[in-house]
Amino acid sequence: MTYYLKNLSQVKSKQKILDNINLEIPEDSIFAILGPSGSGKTTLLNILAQLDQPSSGEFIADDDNDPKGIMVFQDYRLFPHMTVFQNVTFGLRMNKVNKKEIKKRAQEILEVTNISELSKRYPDELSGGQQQRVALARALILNPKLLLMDEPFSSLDEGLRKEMLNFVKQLQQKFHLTIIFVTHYKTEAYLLSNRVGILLDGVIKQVDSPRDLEQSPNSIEVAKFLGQSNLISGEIDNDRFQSNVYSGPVETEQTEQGQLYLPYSGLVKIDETSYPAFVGKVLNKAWFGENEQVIIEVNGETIFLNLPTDSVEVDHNYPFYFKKIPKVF
Amino acid sequence: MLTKKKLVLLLSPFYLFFILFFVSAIIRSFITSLGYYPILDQTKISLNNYLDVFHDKMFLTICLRTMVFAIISALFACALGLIIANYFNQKNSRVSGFFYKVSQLPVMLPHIFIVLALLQLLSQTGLIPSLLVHLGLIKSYSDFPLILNDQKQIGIFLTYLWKETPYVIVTLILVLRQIGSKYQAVSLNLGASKWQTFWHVTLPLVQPALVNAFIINFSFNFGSYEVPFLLGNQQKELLPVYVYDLYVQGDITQIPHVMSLNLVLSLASIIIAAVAILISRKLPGGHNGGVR
Repeated sequence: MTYYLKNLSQVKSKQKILDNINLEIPEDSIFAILGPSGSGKTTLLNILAQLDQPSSGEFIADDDNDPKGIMVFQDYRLFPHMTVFQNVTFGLRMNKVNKKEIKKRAQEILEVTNISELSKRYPDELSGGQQQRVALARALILNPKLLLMDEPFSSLDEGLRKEMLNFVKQLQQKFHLTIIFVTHYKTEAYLLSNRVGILLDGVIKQVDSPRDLEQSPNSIEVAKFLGQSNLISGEIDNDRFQSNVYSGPVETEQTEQGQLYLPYSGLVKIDETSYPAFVGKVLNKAWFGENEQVIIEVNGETIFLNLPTDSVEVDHNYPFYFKKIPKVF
Repeated sequence: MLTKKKLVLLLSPFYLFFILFFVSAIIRSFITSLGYYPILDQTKISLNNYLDVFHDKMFLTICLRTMVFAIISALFACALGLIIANYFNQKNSRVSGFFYKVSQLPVMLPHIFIVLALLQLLSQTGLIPSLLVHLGLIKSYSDFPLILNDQKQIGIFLTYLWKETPYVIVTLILVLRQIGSKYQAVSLNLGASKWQTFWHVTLPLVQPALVNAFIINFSFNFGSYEVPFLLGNQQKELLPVYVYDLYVQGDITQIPHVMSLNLVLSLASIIIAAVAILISRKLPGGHNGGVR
């Protein structure tokens, strides 16, 4: 069952929060919506969870004109006066499912989420990771077709965040869920989903794979939001760019002036290609795993690149190359 | 961070006041109630006064009546306060905000204000019966039902509701605002109806605050003197009036007996409060005393 967001807009207090959102989300997939705080991510999820009504537009599915997603909230929102078991079974109890069935389904879901031994505890007796598992179990017990997750990992520390990311992936595969999750951490979005929508100021600016987003953002706003990139000002003449860092052919729609997009990773290489970029002097480098963040001076301009560890030495000059013709916004 | 010594020093004025005026009075009352009253050359200690109290059918009847009345009045104020607070919380408009502000007014006004207002309005010679007579809706003042100083204690009940309902509203609104709508959103998203959300989520979360408000209202109702004195009925006397009347009769030999009544009255109030707290802890929402 594919979900469709058609011309969805939301206006509150004369302020446009969502502007003509159009998305198509296939079933059994994870779709990430990535955007900064205040971009309208939670408003969008609230509409999909039927906690809010859009000012215009509609949210429909192939065989459901009124689909409703079950939400896992950023702060988990476990009912503080209920035990884990009571929290998890809340939806079933409210839907008047018989007690035997509730017990059976609770047992299954508590096992899947590895929280069986916590069933008698209260939320204030749980760690952040445990609380998140309970929140997931509370949603999953309802067998939702569509699961909505609002900044699900933002309250977790790094180690736990990765563990939970993998756990959510496993759950998605096991239950064949369609998951829409919103986040302002691009790493989270990239790790969890291979299709990411960029939401800026209530507008979906681009929907692409993480790799395409990083290497070919379709606008300067997306490039700036994704960060981890150098933007070099220069002039354009007949698809040729002129700047202190690079002068040569570019891919652009601009005619006079523009900004050369140089992401930290992926585009600039030390290995020779058909697209020479610039010659620069390595000023400094900082190790982080398989890569190093390298600071390079090119004709008085400083740029940052992520290069393979030990591929360059400090105080040495190197020629650098593009993987493909660079883009200018 | 305050050290233990500093904390004790800072709290010492309160403790001194508490020990001097409250604990000493309780101890003195207790000793007197046991029959130790040297002014009358009574130095023999016994439980006779307490035995008398529990064999005094009139006292037991009045005590039970007062307790039931205080509980019912407090429960009504809590129920009404809960409904109105929930309404104000949901209708977050300017109009409901104005009415919320107005509803706080009775908290600031003394009980005697509403007692006098009720006397002016609802006594058989009051403003409302006069108006009804002038409008021809009733023939004479005596046709107006006896609401004040009646055997059903309607006047006292109305006074307590007027004063205590706003107190419950103010208490609960603060808790409801702290909770916000986040748990309601979860509940509705998980398929609960609005009523289920109120019953299973909102009510348990405000329950500890509601029980606290009940205890305070009950304690006042149980021990209040001026309201039942001015609006009560002599045939259906309430306990504080009964005890005070005994005290001011001037029979000094009755003082130990009055003291025992006073302590029984206080003990009953404390027991009801303790029972309410115990019940609150067992009810949904009692686990951590509400919202954290």
